[in-house]
Amino acid sequence: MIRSLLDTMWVAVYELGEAVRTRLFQLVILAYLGGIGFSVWLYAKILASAEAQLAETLGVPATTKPGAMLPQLLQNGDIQQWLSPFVGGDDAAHALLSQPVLGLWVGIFSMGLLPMVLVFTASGTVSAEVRSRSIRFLLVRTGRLEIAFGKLFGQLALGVTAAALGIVLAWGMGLFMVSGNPPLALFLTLCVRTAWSVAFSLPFLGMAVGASLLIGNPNGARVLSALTFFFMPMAAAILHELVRRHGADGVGRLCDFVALAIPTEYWADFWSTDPGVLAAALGRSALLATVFFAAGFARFQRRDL
Amino acid sequence: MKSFVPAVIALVVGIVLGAWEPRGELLDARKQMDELRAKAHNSDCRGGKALDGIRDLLHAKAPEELQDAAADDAEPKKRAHLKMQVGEAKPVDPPTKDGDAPPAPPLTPEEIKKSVSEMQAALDARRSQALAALTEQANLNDDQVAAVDAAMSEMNGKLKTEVDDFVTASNGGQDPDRRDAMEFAANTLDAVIAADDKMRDIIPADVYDTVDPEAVDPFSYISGDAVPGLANLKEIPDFQ
Repeated sequence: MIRSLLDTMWVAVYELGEAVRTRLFQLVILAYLGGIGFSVWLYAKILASAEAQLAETLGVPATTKPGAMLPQLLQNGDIQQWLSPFVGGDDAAHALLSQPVLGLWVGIFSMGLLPMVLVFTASGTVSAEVRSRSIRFLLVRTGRLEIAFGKLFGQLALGVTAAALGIVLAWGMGLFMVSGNPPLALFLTLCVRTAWSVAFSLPFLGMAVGASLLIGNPNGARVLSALTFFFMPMAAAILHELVRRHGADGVGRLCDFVALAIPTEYWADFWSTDPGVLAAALGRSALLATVFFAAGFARFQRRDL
Repeated sequence: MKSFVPAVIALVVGIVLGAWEPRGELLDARKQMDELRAKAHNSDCRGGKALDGIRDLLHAKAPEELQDAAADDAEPKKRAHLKMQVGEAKPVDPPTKDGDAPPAPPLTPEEIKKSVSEMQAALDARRSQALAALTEQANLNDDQVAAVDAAMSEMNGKLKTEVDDFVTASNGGQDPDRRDAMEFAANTLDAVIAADDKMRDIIPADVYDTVDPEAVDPFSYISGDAVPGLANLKEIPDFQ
């Protein structure tokens, strides 16, 4: 068992080292940081534009660094009322709005960006080696499960590194471009939101590595992962409509269960302040990641390499 | 390690079997709730709300509104355009001729509370923005910002005291006389002038002239603290 864990760890380390060597690591970091940087820039632009208009209406000068009016405006009950159904109640909405909004904004972007980055990078991780037959050299040293899990954790480490650097970038840019953000509170909010983004990304990572284990061609695996990623919300909408039409009959129940396997269905749970809801969301994410990974591994286990 | 895939399959099958009945019951309950909501919506449509739409279309008044309108007409009308009965949350409208638009619906206590809260937020946001603009334009250090903020807070404290005293006096049942009104105006202006003096002391004269006038205007720094006090005013006094 310990030998198996050590092998998994070494495969993960090797995966990360190979990503650095092939410049994939740098590419992923740049792509993710570019997205996060863009989100902070967009936030500052939108806020500056809104504040300039409001300042003109209120008869006070505008500022080049926006953010002075935001805390007061967020006390408006309408915003809390609007947010409350998404996050599960007035208390949760109030708790969220008491955090720096920039941290929440980056959290939203991160929840979209990190799964996307992981899907595109992780979907080629095993299939490329299967295609080139270089996986045979690894198989001499360790088992298939260790290889598959090592690749999964290696890709996870890649995503976590990008996410951590994203926190630093968003924090620095936020303090430089937007006023009214207490540095420590902003940093903590960014850390918490990014951590939940990583948790939300787990099923997508499992899906991408699963596709890579399932299909021996890296391009095929990437196409399968990308199609699944982009069509998931559409499939969820269709399933909900079928559940609404069929109710609790056989088809309705089946659609209801299939909808449970769509990770995008749980994004709102990660914004709850209820520890129970958060723990359940984390558990579901881990379970879905395991199920998607196992689905691919079932084929990889029997593949003639 | 060969048991990994069977273990995951067993876990999934266990979850599906265990959750099949509870999820079904949940779906049933949701369907029943949707049906009840639809029924409630239909009964609303059959009731008074649909008639409200037709009544609006014909510019007709509900019987209780007609009674209120008759009572209003009987009252003396000389101060009707100024008075607002906040206690009953019903504005007294100026007399209307036949064919005019119907009077605006009265504000409920919740709507008044919301308006007060929005006005407070707007004034507080205005104050923060003015201070941020002043800090940026005059390049103030932390001590100067704190001093300006303290001076403006002192002004707001005085204004709040004056407003609360004035509202208490006005709600006493007797309209304040001209002298009271003049004293109220003088005291509030004194507070604003004192704040302006402090602002001029804190900001160097050469810098003071370069910033936007709104950024150094003490009126830009009036906070929403006095607004709840003003909302307690039962009616706008008519000075004797």
